[in-house]
Amino acid sequence: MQRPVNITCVIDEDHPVDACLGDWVLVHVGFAMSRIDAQEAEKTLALLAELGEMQQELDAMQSNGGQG
Amino acid sequence: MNRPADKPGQHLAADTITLAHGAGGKAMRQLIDTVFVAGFANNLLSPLEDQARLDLDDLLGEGDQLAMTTDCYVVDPLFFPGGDIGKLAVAGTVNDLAVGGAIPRYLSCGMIIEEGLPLDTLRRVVASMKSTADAAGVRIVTGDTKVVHRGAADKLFINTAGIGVIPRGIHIASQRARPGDAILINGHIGDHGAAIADARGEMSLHTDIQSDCRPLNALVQTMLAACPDIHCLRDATRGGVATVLNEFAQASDACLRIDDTRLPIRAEVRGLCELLGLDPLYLANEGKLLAVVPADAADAVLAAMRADPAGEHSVCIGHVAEAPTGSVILQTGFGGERIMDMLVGEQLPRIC
Amino acid sequence: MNQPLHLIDEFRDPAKAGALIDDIRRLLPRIERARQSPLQLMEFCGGHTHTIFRYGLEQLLPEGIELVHGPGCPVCVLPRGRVDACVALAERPEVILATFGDAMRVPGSHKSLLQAKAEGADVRMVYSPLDALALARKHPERQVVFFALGFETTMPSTALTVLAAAHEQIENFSLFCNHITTAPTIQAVLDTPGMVLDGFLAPGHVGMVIGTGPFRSIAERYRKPMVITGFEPLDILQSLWMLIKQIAAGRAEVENQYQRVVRRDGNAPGLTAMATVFEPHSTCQLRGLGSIGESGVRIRDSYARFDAERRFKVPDLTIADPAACQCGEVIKGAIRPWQCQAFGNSCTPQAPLGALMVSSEGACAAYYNYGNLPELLARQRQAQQGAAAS
Ligand code: SF4
Repeated sequence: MQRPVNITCVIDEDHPVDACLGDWVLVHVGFAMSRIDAQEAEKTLALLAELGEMQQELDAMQSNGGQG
Repeated sequence: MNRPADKPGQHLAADTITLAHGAGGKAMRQLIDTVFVAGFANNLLSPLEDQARLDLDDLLGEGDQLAMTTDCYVVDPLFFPGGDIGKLAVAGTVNDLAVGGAIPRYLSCGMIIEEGLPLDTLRRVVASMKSTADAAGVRIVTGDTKVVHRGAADKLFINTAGIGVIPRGIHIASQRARPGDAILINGHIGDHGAAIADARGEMSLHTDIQSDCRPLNALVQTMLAACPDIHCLRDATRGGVATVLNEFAQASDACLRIDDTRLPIRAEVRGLCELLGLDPLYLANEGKLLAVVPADAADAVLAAMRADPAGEHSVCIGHVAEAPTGSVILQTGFGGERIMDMLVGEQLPRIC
Repeated sequence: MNQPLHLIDEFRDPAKAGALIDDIRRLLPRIERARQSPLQLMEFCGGHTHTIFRYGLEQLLPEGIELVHGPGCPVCVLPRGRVDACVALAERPEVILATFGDAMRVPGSHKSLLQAKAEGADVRMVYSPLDALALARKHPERQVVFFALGFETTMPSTALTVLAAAHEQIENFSLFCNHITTAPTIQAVLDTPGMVLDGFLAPGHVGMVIGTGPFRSIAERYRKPMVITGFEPLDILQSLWMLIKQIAAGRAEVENQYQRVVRRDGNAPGLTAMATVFEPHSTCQLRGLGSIGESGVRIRDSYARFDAERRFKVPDLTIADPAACQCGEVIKGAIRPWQCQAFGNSCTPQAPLGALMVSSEGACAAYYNYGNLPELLARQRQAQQGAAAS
């Protein structure tokens, strides 16, 4: 899907127009409002995955404890 | 070929429709001959009596009940990716007959035309109606045309009525959903609504979404061959899948449980819905049907559906349960559930 | 089977939800306050309300947590007088009124924009204020008025549109400005007498524009934990978990769950555009919350020619909400939607009495559409009978 969006809000000196190609941005009412930080997204997901593993270990410990 | 259009002196003078084309005189006669009779080309229409005369014996050979339906078609724009108002007007009425189990046979075609419509536009619509009718195996056997003042209609409105024959032993009805039954759909949801939203251009979006507009009568016959005892069947047009499911749930006093993760929705349609805050379950479809079938027949029906070009992406999206009666419950991929109600009014994009 | 949407579907992965919910369950009994009655956590933003209902998140949470649906739906807090003024603008023969879809159904005291449109007003639905500006370019003989509303999320886009109009010298474009600011609105909720809130999910898209600072001062002043939150279901669950952790540890800080989008200082170009075009407005009426100091904005004098209210003499009406309407109580979290006498009776999405029934982000509409209606209405009747008996 394509739609022209205004990118005023996601460019600055460190990130000129040319650098935007390939960026994932959050678009709100036709304006790109924020470049989505893929690393931060990964970090958030990794944290959640870790929490899941920890929980499984906890459960495993508890059920082992229960048997032993 | 000796079509009326080829006779000298019978060409239409103007290249747009004017009030004279609806006034009953020469211009109207020419319009009928050159556009409709020539376009729909069949021997039942050509005598141009005030009524089409249909052979009863012929119909009786196919079943024991006559099915009849009518629908009006208005769409803006008239031509959209994947279809046009003519294809819609034939496929829509064919589908309304088909989902009753009927074999569609004859269609009527009434047109209300706004003066100023380019004649070429009308020709293209008629050609599209003809090719859709051929594909569905139906004939357009009678019709009427009115031309109205500019502004009294929006370009072109079409009404089609249809007649079909229901074979013996078919009892499709929306009251027949029973606990345990499987709920099937023949493919991706919301394509037509998304294609129209895009084609209107109001939102300045550019997508590759095509309307799913197509006749479903062959698919339905394949399904009935696999399981003559299909309980409910309906095409999900305006109001979308959510509306049909609610109609089944209410008519059957049952609860329809739908698994969110199994709903087939194209990425492009999902993207459009995310962007505009629309729910694909309420988007219109023009080539999708929902079937409620006995659980033990579900696999056979699904296999038959997938073998038909109109059903390649068929899936089972849920099942019928007892309670709460009259409701549709969507099990979200997240383990929660929510009630899926009928739509109130028109679905408006939600932006803030 | 469906092709995934990048950076969206990852945050809808149910496999990751379980761990968060389990940990919330584990933490809750350690919270003294939660042992007395359920924790009251407010999601301020209508977008969050929508996600919560769409994914049925409330049912996944343990009993000790109650979600209170806040006032953060800009369509819902629009006072009726403003809707009436907007309808009056739309009914001027020279005006094309352009607006977002969900603003069209909000009831004024006589009619909504949708009804005005049916009666002949030229009301157009647009996706972006830039589309409204395009309408002005296309119809130089008409006056295009954009019905601007929303919190800080939408303000940069309207501001930039005004700047574009000024730059191109488009003279037949103006704004009917109904923007409101978030921080004073949150404070108004917190200042409500008798308000018990244990924590806040702060709106991520507002944070994306204004940064984390303004939330920090509220958290400090009111000693309430806050988490700036994204809009996918995992975002919301993770933020609830972060709130619970704060409460368990006795902290009242601002944390940013929506790191992938929200930066500490917000969006500089957006903030600059906002400050160039808008200035704070002394007070602003909000439906259900009354007048809130410093919560509104208006167009600066230097851009006055783009202000529809100065161009057209818009009536300034204050119209009381219908007596039966309890939207204010619901917005403040004082009662649940079904506790309003009008809910499901004189107020339904088909015929909304209050604004919370209009937008699909409004708390009442969410309960009505996604909740178990017969059960809610039965509870409402019980409560009435209880009240009559005592
Ligand atoms: S039910 Fe209607 S009147 Fe009552 S609070 Fe909700 S929106 Fe307002």
